[in-house]
Amino acid sequence: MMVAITHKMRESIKKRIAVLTLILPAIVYITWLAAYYWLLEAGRYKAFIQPKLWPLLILALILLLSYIAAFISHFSGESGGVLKFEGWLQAAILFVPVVFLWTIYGQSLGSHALSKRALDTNQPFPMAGISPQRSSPATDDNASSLLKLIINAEHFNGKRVAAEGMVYRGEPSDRRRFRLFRFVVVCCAADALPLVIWVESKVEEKFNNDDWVRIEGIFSFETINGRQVSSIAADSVRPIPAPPPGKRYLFF
Amino acid sequence: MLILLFLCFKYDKLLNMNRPASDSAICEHGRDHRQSSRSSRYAQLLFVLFTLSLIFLFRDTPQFHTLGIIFVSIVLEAMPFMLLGTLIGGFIEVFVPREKVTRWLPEGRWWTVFIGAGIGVLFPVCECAIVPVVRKLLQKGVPFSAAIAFLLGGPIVNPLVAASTAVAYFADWSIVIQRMLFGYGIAVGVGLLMGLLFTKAKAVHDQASRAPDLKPAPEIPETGRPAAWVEKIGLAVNHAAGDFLDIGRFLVIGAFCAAVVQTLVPRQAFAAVMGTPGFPILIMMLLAVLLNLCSEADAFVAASFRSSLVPLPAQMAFMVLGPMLDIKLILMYLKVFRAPAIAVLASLTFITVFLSMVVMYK
Repeated sequence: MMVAITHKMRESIKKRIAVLTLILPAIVYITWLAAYYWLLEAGRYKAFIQPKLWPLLILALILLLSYIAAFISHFSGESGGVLKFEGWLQAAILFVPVVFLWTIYGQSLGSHALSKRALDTNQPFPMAGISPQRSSPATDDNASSLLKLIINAEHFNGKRVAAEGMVYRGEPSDRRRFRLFRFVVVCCAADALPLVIWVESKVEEKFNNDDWVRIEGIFSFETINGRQVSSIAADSVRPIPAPPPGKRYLFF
Repeated sequence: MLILLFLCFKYDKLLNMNRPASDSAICEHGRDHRQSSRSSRYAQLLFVLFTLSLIFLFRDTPQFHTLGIIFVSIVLEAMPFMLLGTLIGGFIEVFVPREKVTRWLPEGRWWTVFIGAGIGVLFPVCECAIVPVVRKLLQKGVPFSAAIAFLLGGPIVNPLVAASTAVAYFADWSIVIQRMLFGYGIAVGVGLLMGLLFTKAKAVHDQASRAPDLKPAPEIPETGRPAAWVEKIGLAVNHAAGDFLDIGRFLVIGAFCAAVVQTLVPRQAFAAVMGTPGFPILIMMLLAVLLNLCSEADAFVAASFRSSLVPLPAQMAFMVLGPMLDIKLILMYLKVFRAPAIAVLASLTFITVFLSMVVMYK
């Protein structure tokens, strides 16, 4: 009796897995469709890719919808009853980025990424010969965008400025000196370039790496290790809450 | 990760898995093939387990945040192009008759390579979209060397890449033109060389490499009826959907490898050896292979090296090689070409880019 029940249960599980195997492609498409929809909703995608690229996400939605429709219209249970390991493996690999997406959302590139990406300079874009009028990239509405400051550095030299960004202390740490940084994104966070300004404060600051701060002071150039870098002699450094994930990067 | 990559390299043999059993039986080394397919399956399984274990073990570390954001960003940006590429491939499969393709681009004609390398001007696709398209074009009878030229030239010689390069270099048109010319010239050169070294049969997986779980497209009579067209479109999309499942995983694995490199390797390490003569070009080429950037964004990263005194030839090498050869592309090539052909293609591309930069900027 028990053997018969166990056998029945095993058969039932096998059948369910087989059905699941059959509809696995649709589950993959629907998962990705949900992921892209979730990203588009409330602009969450800006935590990963350039806002101007929203049509790409719409394109992905449309194509995934059409794939689901095509799958349904051509669906047949002919190959039912066969458990295809290959199909499950394909699906599992395609699920990995979605799992990462939901795990990682809310985080952003910080001082760790800066330490790997920063070159021995603070300027991702060469400044020579660029007038402020000529280079007016789209940035956030904030007047204290690091991108504006760095690209229009000559224009701001000697002027009072305000800037917001994250703290990077590096080694060795002089509590009065630190670097203020943000990442500028061209297409996606994988190509994010760090924008860095040295900050010299009047008093010792207790901020740690990745703390968000607002700096006010005089913008100028100084030479560090034989290289000209942008710096702010700060008279005010105050903590600010981290912006929402979609507003942490600057966009070129 | 290197072991994982190595195992994935052996993936070409996995294609035999999709063949009917009789096909495998007639294969001279059928047993080896089965073993290889098993090892590559293990490699892929290992990839899934490895990535998921990272989430459980390191999710609160800054390294994981960097890795996760880069990985997800690459996949999110590349996936729509990949979907588009598979859709185009599906439409080629269903709507473009083989006879027409072979009439437009006949086999054995050297001039087809020159056309292939320049198709990107009319048909701008990035490197993520191009692999499924090339796969279908090859199945439709496009000459091997012309397909290689399109594969290498398409992601560079196109208006979108020209525009992004112009923006990154502040409208320095000489750099834009140089990039386009190098991209075109190298695509033609490597295409011709590959055509001399390989036949299509030796280099490309046969048509049995169709996506698993996908029924072969039934022949639809050319009646011209709207219903037939709707059915054809449905078939094309169905083909595309199958291709997406089939090739998409390589994009995921490649993007993850690129994210690992970006997370662990400091760019300053590359910049530090720039002063050594001859090194800058090689280092920037290596960086291009490892970073896996989109061809529409790589110019900005290349331009960022300008202020680190990286010479122009090295920046150019970065911008020319990146769209032709990187980790994710190599993994995606495995779905189209046999391993020896990929090894030769990668080597030829790397050497040609290096020599071009050395000679042209001497």
